[in-house]
Amino acid sequence: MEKPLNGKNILVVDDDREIVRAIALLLEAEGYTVFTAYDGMQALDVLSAQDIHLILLDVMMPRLDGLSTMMRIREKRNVPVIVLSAKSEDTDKVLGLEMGADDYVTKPFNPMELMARVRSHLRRYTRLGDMYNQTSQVLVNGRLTFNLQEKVLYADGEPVRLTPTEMKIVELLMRNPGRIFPAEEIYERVWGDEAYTTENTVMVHIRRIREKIELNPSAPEYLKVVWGIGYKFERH
Amino acid sequence: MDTNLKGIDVFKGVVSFVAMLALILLLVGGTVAVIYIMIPMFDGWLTLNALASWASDLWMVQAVVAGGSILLLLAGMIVLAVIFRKERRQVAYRLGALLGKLWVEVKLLLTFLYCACAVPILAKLIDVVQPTSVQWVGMDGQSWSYLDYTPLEDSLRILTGFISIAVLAVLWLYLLCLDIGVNRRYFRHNIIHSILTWVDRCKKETPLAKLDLRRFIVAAACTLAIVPATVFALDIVDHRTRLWQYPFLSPLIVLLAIAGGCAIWAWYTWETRRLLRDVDILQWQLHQVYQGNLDVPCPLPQTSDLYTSAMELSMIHTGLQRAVDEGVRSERTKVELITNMSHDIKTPLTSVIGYIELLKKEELPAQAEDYVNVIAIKAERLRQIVQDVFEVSKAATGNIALRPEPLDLARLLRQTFAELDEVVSAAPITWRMDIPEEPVPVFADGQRLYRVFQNLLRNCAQYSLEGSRAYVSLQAEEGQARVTLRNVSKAELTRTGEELTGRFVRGDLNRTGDGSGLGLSIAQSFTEASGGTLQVRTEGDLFTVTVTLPLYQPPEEPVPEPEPEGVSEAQPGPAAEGDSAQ
Repeated sequence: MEKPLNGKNILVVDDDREIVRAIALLLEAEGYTVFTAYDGMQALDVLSAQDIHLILLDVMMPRLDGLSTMMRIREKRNVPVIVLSAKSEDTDKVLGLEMGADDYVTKPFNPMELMARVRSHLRRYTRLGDMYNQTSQVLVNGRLTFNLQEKVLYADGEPVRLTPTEMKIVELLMRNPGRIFPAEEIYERVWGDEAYTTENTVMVHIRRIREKIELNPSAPEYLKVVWGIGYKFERH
Repeated sequence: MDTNLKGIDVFKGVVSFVAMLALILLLVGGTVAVIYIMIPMFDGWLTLNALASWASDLWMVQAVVAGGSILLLLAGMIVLAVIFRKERRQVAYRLGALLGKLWVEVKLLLTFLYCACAVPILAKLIDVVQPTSVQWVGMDGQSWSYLDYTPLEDSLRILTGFISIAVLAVLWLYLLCLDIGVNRRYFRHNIIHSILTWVDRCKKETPLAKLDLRRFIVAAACTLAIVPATVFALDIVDHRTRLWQYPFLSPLIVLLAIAGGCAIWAWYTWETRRLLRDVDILQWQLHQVYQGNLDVPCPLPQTSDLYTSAMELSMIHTGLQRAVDEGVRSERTKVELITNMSHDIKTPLTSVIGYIELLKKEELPAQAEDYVNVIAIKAERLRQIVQDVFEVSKAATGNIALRPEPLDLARLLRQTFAELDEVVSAAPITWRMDIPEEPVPVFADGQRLYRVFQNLLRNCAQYSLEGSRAYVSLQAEEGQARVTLRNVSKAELTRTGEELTGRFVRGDLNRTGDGSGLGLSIAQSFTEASGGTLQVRTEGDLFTVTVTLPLYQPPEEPVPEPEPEGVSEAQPGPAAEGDSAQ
């Protein structure tokens, strides 16, 4: 368990009061200060009165729905917004993200994953600034930063403990974001060996890396399998 | 009396109707008689006087009785006509309907016949009844003239004639009015119309072959008839009359006969050709419909023998379109229902999962912690089911967006095994894999195909008998990539393969295990969406799933169509039989 980041204000907006209460309790257990609103108008009121660091926003709400609320927020502020929605289709996700959401979580969500996402976004929002001007020898991709000199991977600014092989794989893939590597190529370039039965070996490592860097390892956002072709590092 | 028809007493009606008719006719007769008597020209008074003297010859009592009984009869008739007026109207209506069945021509003919008979008779009667001035020259040379009056018997006969003509006229007029009043399309029911209808019906009911044969017989009979007619005409011209004086007549007759024959056969040929042309048009229309163009308007005119068929064919799309529309609408409703429902379930489920998490943070007695864990597992399963139901409903209605690309099915299978390593190695079974090292290219959506094999492997891992072997093989042959999974079921398989791919169906009938029961259904839907087929076979407890996908041939040739599963022939190479453990 991570230490609570006290002094961070989070606004939870949902028309279902029980959901708001559950999320608020979970967040308070992590040490956050929680403000609640039950529709878009209330959310805007709270936002104008308080210093909010992150917003959890439901989409389907009375009076002012989530996406419209988000558009109004985005007119003034750059606060991270995580959208909560019962709509799980890709088109809904894309729409939400294009409207300015930083993240899209579908209901019913795993509370622990939601907490992890909240942590990740808060850390990036508040601490990312000093990461860039350290050195130019870094690969940045979303919430991941790879320092080429130190050979250290940071997730949301926190160093991730990787084995040397995992590090090599991450470096290879992060240097070529979006490019698809077949298992054989990864094996040859990381192990420096002629590939034989590679799929399992590579996959085992990939899965371990995912567990360390992904917020939800079973639905990876960065280290992805391209089925029937290979593996790739998604560009964010 | 059993004359009750549809709640109306026919007998009463008939009695009442007859009474009313008789009343009217009596009144008519009486009126005519009175007029006859009143007009002096008809020496009615004389007749009356004669009648009176004749009556006075009889006994007065008899006269009174006769008059009284006539009056009584009249009163009875009035009563009958009034009391049963409802029934009477029904009878009148039926009589009118009956009259409507008669052709208009028949009615006109009867009217004409009546006029033709009545007018001369009337004229003659009037002629007879007029007192004739008789010139008589006496012996003294003086001429006398006097009016000669008709004798009584003649006068009575004349009166009867008048009355019957009038009564007949009134009766006929009454029936005609009844007819016109009851039957709407009065002039439609004529002989010509009936004949046309009959011919039309005959034409419609006769098979085409018979129709053509009939035409041929008519043509042949006409041709045969022309020959004797010509011979007869020539005989008359040449021998029996003086027409032989005109030498051009015989050749003219022959020419006419030939022309007639030709015309008949031309008619026959034309009719046949028209029929065949209509058949061609019908064939074209059929082809259009076959190609999916259901909106072809009826291409044949109403006069065509094939009009009915063409009309029916062009109406097909109306029925079909309705069925299709209804199907689409009901599918859409189903998807909407499922989408809404899964949304409605998701919201409370979010609370459930959230509060379970909060409960886990609490200090609970050991038992309660155990309970919370059970709830957590079930909530997770419920979440999975909701997700699966949503996906299946979308896939089954073709509502999924596919991103197909060329990929290696062999690699995809190996990746799937690696991804599901935990599930695969945790299963208490031995896996035997026969996946070629060479690429097996297919053109499909990798993510969906992964879901297919993920579900199939999970099924294998979950439902296999402990200690048994599961076989996974991939073969590429005859343009098809075929993945076969075989395992021995833990529970007895009581369903056929087809039933097992149905939604919410599992091998064991008591649905207590994990899983939503949608795994096979999802696998099938996604395979079919990728242009492949998924077949499930059960033999005893042996469970076999075969996924067939068309092989991808880069790059010029288009993607081959998926063919029905052919007979598998062993081919050399990677597809060789045998199990090699990996």
